[in-house]
Amino acid sequence: MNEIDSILGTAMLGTTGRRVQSESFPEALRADVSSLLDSGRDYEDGFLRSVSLFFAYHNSGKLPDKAHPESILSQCAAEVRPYMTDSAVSILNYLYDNVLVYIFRYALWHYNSSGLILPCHSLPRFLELAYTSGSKYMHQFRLAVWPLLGNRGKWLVDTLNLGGEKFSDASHPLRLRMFVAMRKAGLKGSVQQLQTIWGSISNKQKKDFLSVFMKVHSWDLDFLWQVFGEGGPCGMMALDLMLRHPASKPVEYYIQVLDQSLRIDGRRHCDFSDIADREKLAEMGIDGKVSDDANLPEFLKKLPENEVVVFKLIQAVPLIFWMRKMDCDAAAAARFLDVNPAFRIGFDFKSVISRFRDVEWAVEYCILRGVFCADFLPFMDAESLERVAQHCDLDGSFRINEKICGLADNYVPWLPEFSMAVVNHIIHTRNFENTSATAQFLAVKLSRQCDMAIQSYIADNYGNDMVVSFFQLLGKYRKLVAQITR
Amino acid sequence: MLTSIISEQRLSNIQAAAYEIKTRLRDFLRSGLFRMASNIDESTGQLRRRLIDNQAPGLASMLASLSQIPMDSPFWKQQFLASVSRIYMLASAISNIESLAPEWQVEVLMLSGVSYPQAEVLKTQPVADSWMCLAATKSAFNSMTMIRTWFVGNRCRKFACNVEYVAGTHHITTTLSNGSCYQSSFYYYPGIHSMRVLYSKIDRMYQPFVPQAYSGIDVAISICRRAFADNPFMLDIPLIISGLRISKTDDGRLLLADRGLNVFPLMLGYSNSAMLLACTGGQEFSAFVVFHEFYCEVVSFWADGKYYVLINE
Repeated sequence: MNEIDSILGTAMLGTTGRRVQSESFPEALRADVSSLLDSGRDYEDGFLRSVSLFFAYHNSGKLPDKAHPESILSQCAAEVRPYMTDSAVSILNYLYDNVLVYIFRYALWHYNSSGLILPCHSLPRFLELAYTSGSKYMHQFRLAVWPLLGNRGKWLVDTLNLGGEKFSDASHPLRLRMFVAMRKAGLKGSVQQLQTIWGSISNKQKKDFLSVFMKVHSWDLDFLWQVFGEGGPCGMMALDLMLRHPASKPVEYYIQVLDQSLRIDGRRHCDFSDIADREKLAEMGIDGKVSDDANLPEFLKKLPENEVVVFKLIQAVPLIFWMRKMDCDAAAAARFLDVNPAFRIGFDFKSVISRFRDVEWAVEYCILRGVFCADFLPFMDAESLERVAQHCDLDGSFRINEKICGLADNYVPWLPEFSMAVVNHIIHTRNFENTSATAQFLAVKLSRQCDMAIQSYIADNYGNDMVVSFFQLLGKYRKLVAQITR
Repeated sequence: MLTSIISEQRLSNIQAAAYEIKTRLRDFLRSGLFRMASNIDESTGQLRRRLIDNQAPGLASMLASLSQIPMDSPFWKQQFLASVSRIYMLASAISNIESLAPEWQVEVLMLSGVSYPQAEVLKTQPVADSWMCLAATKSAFNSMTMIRTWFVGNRCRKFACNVEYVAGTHHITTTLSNGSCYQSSFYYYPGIHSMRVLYSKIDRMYQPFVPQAYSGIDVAISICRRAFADNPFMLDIPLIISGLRISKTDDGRLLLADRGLNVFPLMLGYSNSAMLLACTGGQEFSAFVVFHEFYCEVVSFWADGKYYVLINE
């Protein structure tokens, strides 16, 4: 079509200032064009007739172009995993469209665990949601749906040039969303990506990244140690994160120092000597100061600095320290900490357990106290909760809320005893967050054996009752979960 | 022949409409079609309303279709100029209708929006065959929606298009099922390569057939060449083609390709491109393709033993 560039130019810009003659047309048409231009009512009439003639001529001699062989799209590899059914796809679409976030994430996890992939006709929609929707959860969704794409989906991502945004080139808000998505998915690469930009971002941006670290993994520790070494508020945030992992350098140092200072005799009496090198310990985040830490109990202000340091060390070491110190198992170590008079006042081992996400310690703690602490829920597996349920009640303050639901990191349902304990707790204390998020969480986690109890309660108490309406919502979500797991 | 289709008064109105549109198009050309294109609704709105008032809805619709040409397409200028010149050519033909051959008189009047009497259509010799319902497509026609249901005959290999007009924008609702086969006798409207049909009865067949396909783009283009040569007003040439692949240009545009590396520009929205690629996975496929002057559209396709119809984007 280059031959008519001058004709196009005249038509687009106007004939007032410029005109083409027959020479601008293909040779075969020039005689006819010349005649049309001469005989037309005016130039424009002749021009438009000539152009009609040109396009008729062009179309009646049309030929296809030729492509380079490399431009033909390659075939994608054959699938090795089976497709999920169309009804499974419909469920996913329904969950997404109705913003049932927790059940949606559960469904993705379940289908992936079942070794299924999305059928090809559903790929465009899910790729749009994962790559072009612009939603603030897009990157999280992208990572969650990636295993379900199969070979064809991944081929399509390449072919359509999706997901081209680079972490290093993205804006700070976008990087943060990408980072949060990687952290939620537990990807090692999250820290590697962060390291590529760490030197070039502001302190405020560094704090933003550190504040969304969530669970600390062993592969995070080297990076966090490096950030700690940089000092400043970011260094302190990095220290705080490292204190969540028993294998981090600060915790290992605390263990070493406490091991040297603390003595436990055969009758389990505790004694401790002065801590050597308090200066180094202070650099690692533990000192004898009390006044600037609002979390510390008041009685510590009356104690010598050395005792304050020991107190803080005890609050910072995992159960494994006590197990090694006393050469005993987790149950014995936990019992020791629970009953020993030395630790009766002021110590808060619940926060230590939560910080380290120590399942063994959490179980022993609950059994010893006879009550279950909801703060442990996000990290305790179904078997541990069931063991706890066989020995404990849920205390009145136990409350399932959206924060706990959001922190839970696995979708395996609870076992019957714990499940029934939760249902009975809701019925008798009415202490729960009456929201869709809580109902979705329980729809996934409660064991099937609870269904009869829930239905019975609804039938017996039908009317204007908060628990009934919550259970009805829960029942609706249970049906969705049942469809997913069918 | 003319008087059996149209009254003298209406013909006079249409010819007045043709005169007006020719005058206005020449005016637009003087100041440049770029200015017309960048403000198309405002520059042609009043004219379209007068064309409808003058009983030439076909001319109004052709003018309205100029606003459908996407200005980000690599050939929008050629497409725009070709469309304007086609409207001008039609208007000229209307002005000189008495000098045209009878079949061209009918063609020109129908293009300008005159309805050929259904009773006359039903008097013609029907084509009885098994017909596969390929797809239903919709497009704007003035303030209405035109729904076209495409068929292809098993033995006759002819294409047929049943046209309905509904008020406003409409979801396509039809009792016919895409990909299903039906037994019927189709009555073709008169015209040059006319595909529009009527039927009085259509029965579902439970033994489907796979329609025959032309092999390759070059064969398809040669058919298009003949059709364009026979009727320069033809805008949509339907074909079923096998042995197709997708090619991608350096700037990311998709082309329809065949085994011989012949290619033709493919115009598909993002969702339909993704669907076509997702369901074919780079493998060879057959498709129901509608060829236009500068590009083609895949309306539906066969891949992995399944039949898919793309949405009307």
